Amino acid sequence: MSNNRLGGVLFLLLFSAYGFYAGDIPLDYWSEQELFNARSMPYFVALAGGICACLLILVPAPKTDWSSNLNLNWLPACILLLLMSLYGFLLEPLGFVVATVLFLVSAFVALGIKSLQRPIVVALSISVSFWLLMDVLGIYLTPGVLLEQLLQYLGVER
Amino acid sequence: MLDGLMIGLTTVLTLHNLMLVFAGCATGTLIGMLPGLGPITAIALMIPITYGFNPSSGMILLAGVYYGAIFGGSTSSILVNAPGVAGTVATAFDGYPIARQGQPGKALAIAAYASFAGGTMAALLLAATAPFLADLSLGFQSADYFALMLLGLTLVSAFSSQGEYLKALMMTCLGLMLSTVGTDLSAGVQRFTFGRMDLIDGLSFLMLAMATFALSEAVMMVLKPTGNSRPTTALTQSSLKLSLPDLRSIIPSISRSSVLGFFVGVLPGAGATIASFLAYGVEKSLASTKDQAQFGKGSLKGLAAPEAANNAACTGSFVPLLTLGIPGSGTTAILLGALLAYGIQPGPRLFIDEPEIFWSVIVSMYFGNLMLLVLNLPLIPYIARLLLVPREYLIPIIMFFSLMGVYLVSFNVFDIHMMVFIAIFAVVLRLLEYPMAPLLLGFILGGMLEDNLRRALAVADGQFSFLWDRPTTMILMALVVIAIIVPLTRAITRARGN
Repeated sequence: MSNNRLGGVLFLLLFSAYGFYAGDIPLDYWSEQELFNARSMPYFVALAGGICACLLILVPAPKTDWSSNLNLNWLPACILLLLMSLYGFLLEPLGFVVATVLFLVSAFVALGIKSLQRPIVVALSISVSFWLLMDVLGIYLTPGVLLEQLLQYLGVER
Repeated sequence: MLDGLMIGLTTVLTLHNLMLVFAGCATGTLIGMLPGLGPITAIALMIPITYGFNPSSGMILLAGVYYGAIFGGSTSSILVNAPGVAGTVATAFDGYPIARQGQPGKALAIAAYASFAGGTMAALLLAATAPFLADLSLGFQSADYFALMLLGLTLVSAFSSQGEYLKALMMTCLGLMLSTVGTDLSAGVQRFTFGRMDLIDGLSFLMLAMATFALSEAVMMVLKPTGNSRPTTALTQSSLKLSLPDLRSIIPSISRSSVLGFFVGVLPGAGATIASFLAYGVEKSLASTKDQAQFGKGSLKGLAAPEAANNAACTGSFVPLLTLGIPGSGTTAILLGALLAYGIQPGPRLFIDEPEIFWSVIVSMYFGNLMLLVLNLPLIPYIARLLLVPREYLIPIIMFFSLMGVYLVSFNVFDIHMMVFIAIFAVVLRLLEYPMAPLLLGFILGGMLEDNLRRALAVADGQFSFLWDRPTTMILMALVVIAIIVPLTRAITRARGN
């Protein structure tokens, strides 16, 4: 199967679902009477996208050699995507500095850095200097819910 | 025009703004030099920083980043044969062989002089043509704007690389689709928010740009690592000098390519890539038989021509943005998004309502080129050391700055998750060889397209006859039809032939 055809099928499904859900956009009585309302543009786009997807499927294209895609560096790429998502989850509970250091060190290691010493130094210097820069600019970066609770428990006022 | 230039000069010639031009050029060069990262990524990474400035200063910084990134792309093309962007691919044809012959400084100096000349000539052409075009487009109505935006979207697809027409059109539709997420401001109803408060304001263009360019580029760099990205020959300050005969031989090529590049850049979707290849081809065909043999092996003309043309095309691409409010490329689409974020509506009124922004952008282009030549070129031996930083460190740092760039605008971790999700989607599309720039263009123009269509229909009492009522609209719509049918027929014929 060519990548054109595969993409065409996926897009046809996407634009069909999009057009279907466009019908769920809530309209009041007066909007429903109008020629152009909140649903109109999505319907036009769904139609245009559907036509393009059908053309992608129907227009002959050379077969794609998928084997080259199987030999890509999938594992580190997937780990990085996972790490970014985890960074989003941990940013507020752990705080900016800790979450950033963890993210950067894990990413460096995932990409093949063997020792831990240099990644930790690089990650610490980036996160601390970025945090200090933001502090100077008056931009608040979360110190972390856990740290805040600990400080509150110890009775330290910030 | 002279009054306007004076306004631009007084805005740009402050210490603060000159420093921003320099900072923009230097940062753009740094980012653009990294293989895989181009001006779109560079500008997207810098936009959050510009939110603290006034719009003129913000645009001055971003224009500097744009030029810096193009120059940075040329630097990596010349030093390591790894073009940062498609626009600098032609630079590598002769730039890299010159560097391999032990003269990387000479190649970089030619690239810098050619870029400076191309950018300067194009800035003058822009200053001369933009007010005229802005005046002309003041008579445009909603119907004309609707047709013009449609033309911009279809031309971007029509000018996409061979065989990619349908894919580019598909991505444009995807961009339009994403632009409908959020609250429909005319009716006040939510569309495709799936009950999530985070989506009520729609997707942010910065998040989309970062996810589809910066993040997905970084992931692609991991998926498909390129070979050696370290310069072979050391650079020194003295190696950056050019002899008089060298300069004499490249001046005619630079002049021709600059004018050609500017006019190619004005066309929506054509941009720096087509301009640089076209200039390379023209210079090769105009050269003597002896010179022609040198093309591809280290010809000075072969390096100077695409460099002058791609820089001139970058300036040319500002013409539709500043005069019509319609971006002609992915990069100008990002700049349009930045302008909208500052609360500025580009278009013919920009020339009248915000002359200091209009003219300061034009003047800053000239100063950006001057900065690149006077300050940036001597710094190249130091900036090029960035190419020595291992990718294992560079990629996570790029990811961190991309994530922070978006998080610091909204302070909402939902945006980080959304970015990752969109980046995964973008990586899949890149592997299926779908271009990303039309998606961004569709997204940015989607809202404006809908507004103008709604307004045009209201004026025409709900009749679609507005599409052929006015001569301007009719001509533009005819061009839209041509821009759709001609490449489509060609694509189908080629596919059948294969």
